Amino acid sequence: MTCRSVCNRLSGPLFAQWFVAALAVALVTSAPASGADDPVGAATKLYEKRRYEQAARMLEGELARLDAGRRAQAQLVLGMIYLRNADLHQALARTAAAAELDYLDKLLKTGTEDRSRYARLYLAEALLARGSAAEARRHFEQVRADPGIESRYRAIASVGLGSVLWAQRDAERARSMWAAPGATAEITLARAAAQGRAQAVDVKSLQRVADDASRAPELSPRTRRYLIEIYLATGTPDKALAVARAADLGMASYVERFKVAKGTAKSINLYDLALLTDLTRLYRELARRQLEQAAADARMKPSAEYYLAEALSGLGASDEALTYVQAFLARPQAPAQYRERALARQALIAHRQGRRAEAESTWAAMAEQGSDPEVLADIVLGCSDAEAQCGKVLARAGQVTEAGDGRRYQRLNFALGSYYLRKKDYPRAISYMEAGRDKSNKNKIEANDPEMLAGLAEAYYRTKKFSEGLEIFFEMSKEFPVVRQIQEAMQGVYSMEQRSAGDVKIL
Amino acid sequence: MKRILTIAVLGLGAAIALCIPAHAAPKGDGRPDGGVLNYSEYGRPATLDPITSNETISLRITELVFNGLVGIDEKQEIVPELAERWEASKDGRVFTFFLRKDVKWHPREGETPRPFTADDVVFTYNIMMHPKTITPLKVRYEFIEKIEKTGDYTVVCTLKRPILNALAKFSFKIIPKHGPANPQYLTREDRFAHSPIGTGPYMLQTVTGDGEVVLVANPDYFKGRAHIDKFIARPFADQNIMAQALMFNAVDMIVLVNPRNLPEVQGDKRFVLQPYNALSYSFFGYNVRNPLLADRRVRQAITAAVNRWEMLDSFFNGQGTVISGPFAPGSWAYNLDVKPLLFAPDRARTLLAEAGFKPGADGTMEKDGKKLVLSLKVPIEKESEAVKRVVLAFQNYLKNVGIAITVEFKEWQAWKEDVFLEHNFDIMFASWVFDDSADISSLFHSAEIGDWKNNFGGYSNPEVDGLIVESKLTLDHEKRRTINRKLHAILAEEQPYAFLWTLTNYSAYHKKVRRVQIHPYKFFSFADEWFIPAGEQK
Repeated sequence: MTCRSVCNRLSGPLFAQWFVAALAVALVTSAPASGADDPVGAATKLYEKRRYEQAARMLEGELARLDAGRRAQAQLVLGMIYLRNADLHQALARTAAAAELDYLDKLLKTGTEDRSRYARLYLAEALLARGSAAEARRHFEQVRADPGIESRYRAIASVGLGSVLWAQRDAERARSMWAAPGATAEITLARAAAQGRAQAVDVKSLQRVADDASRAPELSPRTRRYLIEIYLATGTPDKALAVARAADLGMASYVERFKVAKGTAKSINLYDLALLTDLTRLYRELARRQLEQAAADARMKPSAEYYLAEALSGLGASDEALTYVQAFLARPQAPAQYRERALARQALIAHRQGRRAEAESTWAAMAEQGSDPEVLADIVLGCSDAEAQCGKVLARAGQVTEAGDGRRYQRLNFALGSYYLRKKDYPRAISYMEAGRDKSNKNKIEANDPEMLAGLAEAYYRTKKFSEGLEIFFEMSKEFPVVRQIQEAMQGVYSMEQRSAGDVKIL
Repeated sequence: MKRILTIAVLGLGAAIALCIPAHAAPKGDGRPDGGVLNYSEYGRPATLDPITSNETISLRITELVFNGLVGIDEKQEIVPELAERWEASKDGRVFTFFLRKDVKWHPREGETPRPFTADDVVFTYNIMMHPKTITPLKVRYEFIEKIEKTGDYTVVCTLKRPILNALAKFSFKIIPKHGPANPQYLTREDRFAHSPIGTGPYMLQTVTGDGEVVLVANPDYFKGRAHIDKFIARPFADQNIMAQALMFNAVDMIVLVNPRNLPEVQGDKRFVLQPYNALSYSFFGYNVRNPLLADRRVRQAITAAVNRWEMLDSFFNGQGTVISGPFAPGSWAYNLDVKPLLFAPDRARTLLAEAGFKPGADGTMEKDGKKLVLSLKVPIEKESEAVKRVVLAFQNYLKNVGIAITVEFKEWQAWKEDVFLEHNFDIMFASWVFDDSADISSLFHSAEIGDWKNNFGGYSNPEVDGLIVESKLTLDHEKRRTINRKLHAILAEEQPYAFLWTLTNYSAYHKKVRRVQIHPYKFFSFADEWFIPAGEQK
């Protein structure tokens, strides 16, 4: 397979432009291969269609059979697949947080007699997952004190409260919470997961707890989530991936059923928001591993390092990320567009390291001088990530999208939409993302980046155009069953907030 | 002043005929008045009144002409319309509406505008609920015990029981007591149904011989005169021509773009595409009065015999989603656990065999000497190349399992009479569109079987009836969700329809029309705020 053949085949979708540079560096001397025995090509096609899970499985299964050169190439591609999957799950986690926190809060405020008791536990856990420890604490405490809740869930609330205390730097009380009685498998794992997250216990004991638990013939969704978290804490993401793969990621963590004297018994499906943040981290860790291995091959090294910087930056390892960006920029043969994009990333890392003025002036200067929509998109996404104002960048990017046409500008429209979404300017976010959306295939992930679709769905949700958001996730759920939790929450809020008379007409 | 001149120039004849007063109430928002908005419709409205209509073309026009006591804004908040305020009793059963005193009905020729009062509200409710009034609204308002006038501008509505979301239900459109020729009940033959007057931002000026519905801005509109002078609904018989009309500036807006034209419209920077009508789906509906179709296995066999995915891909370029039941996938009521019945011709044959059918000499299934031959009626005005292909494919799929289909394309009104009045069909093809409430009671409750009612197929299932009633009675949102999930599962199993797909729905408009907010169901709810900059007005 030559670089040219791969590049030509990838000329369609936007992300191909990412890939082109990687492969331009990586595939200089690749051996020719037919489609049937070319797992990298086949996985690339699936990746093009944003079928990340299928693409990853295809390559994972082939890695051991490939010769060293081809294996490095496959590892590079696999790393990129995990990376995009991580970005998608991060976007899903953001959207899920919007809908699920609203939904759980509304469940608690409902005026009916049969009010959900377990919603409070899930709200507390969701708040903790989103970093709102103080709010989470109040709810965990109420769950612990609620005699109507099964004792094991009250024990789990104690473990959650321990995590809150740990986050609030009260290690002693945190440990006492974690030491509270309760010996079911779920409680043991909850405790191990919390301690693992806090790095408060040795890896070997965590590993042992997880390995023992994972041998059980049946694992609940909650147990699986804990196992993923523990295996991430023990630096064994492969095991975490195996657990995730064995799970039905669309299954409710808990189904709360209510008794009735007559008529229909109500049931409420409750989900773990933390699953999405765990999966985000899992895919980033997997990306890091594959890219590090790919980088051991001299031919793959430049491309692998380019993406490694991205993975590490996402994992919060800014110093390491910076090293890789600088290594990439030190290569004079790096393609111009990718040099620019690496510079934009370098500025983002600088921003995260506290050098905000430097970062923002770099972005402004780059935007002023450039018009490449991919580079501008990276700059705008950097501004969005860093929550920077970036007035000049936005003005320039807005001009470019206004003048530009077609799919080449899809990603820039997405970037601008994301920026305004984070700024809570939802109409403008919708306007940009709709401008970049392929209307003929409006909800298809093959035609529209699912990360953009998740953002658009959130913007529609925020503006109470619930059906537009739900439509997106209905289609996305076919490939990503984990979005079920977002669907359920959005449906719940929609049901409570819609104000319509009850009309139906012939279209 | 400039605005008054514009009216005088653009619609002098109409202004004289309708006795438009010289004074007007501008919005005072600094945006220009004037201009004409031509929008294309795929077909013509059956009626122009808000009570007897049951299709979306009429709905869009009545949204411009009439108001409810309350409205629902884009944030799903209840806002005052004809009622300036209201009070609810603690038990949620009594609502007192205090009406605006500055609202006038559109004037008829030679008349001065009459004031809107409490009498009109009581009249609307009474005529709507009259047994001889043909309307799908009755089932929606059965929860009202009575509406009484307690003053010229005060009405008290007493409910039989408290219901969820009660206030929103009072968004039904109010018609004038002096409107219908028959003050007792309303039919589609009443002059009012074709020449209505309302209180809304636009007044019906004329319906031309070509079926164009011309609406002019109501200068006395209580929220301030709408900015755009005229709205003209232009009927098209061919969806493809609508896109061409937009591209060549013959119309400024298409309410529903044919999916095949989306790339062309999206590629033209003059236009904006906005998603619309997400809560809709297409179906083949069965007449279960036919004993052959009364057998659930036959209905299931038909669905199993039809490859909906292939049809969606081939005839609509995959621009939609196959559904499993009576709700659209964008609805809060959709049961995500219920998957669409798979395409399985062998399963279809097995089901037919279980129902007692055997292949006859010509391959058509027979039972007790009677061939399994069914009529399919399709409205010709909703016909398009894609629909024709769907119908032909449907015929072929069923032939493959031994079911013969005779297809009949009928003129719109004749089709509606066959389906909704005479019930003279075996299978029909259509699409429903829902508002956010996901209310399927008029479609599947057995009390909704009858002339011009939406349960045209005569479907009756006590369990479904019970769940529908329970869903209406509950005050618990989550319980209502649970009930709807159950309804979805039962109806997916029962197959009173072959549920097909939800298509990609976009409206398109020229960028010269500004401040456009499109209601996802009623479309023109916020049209009085739209405007066209002076330099771009025709």
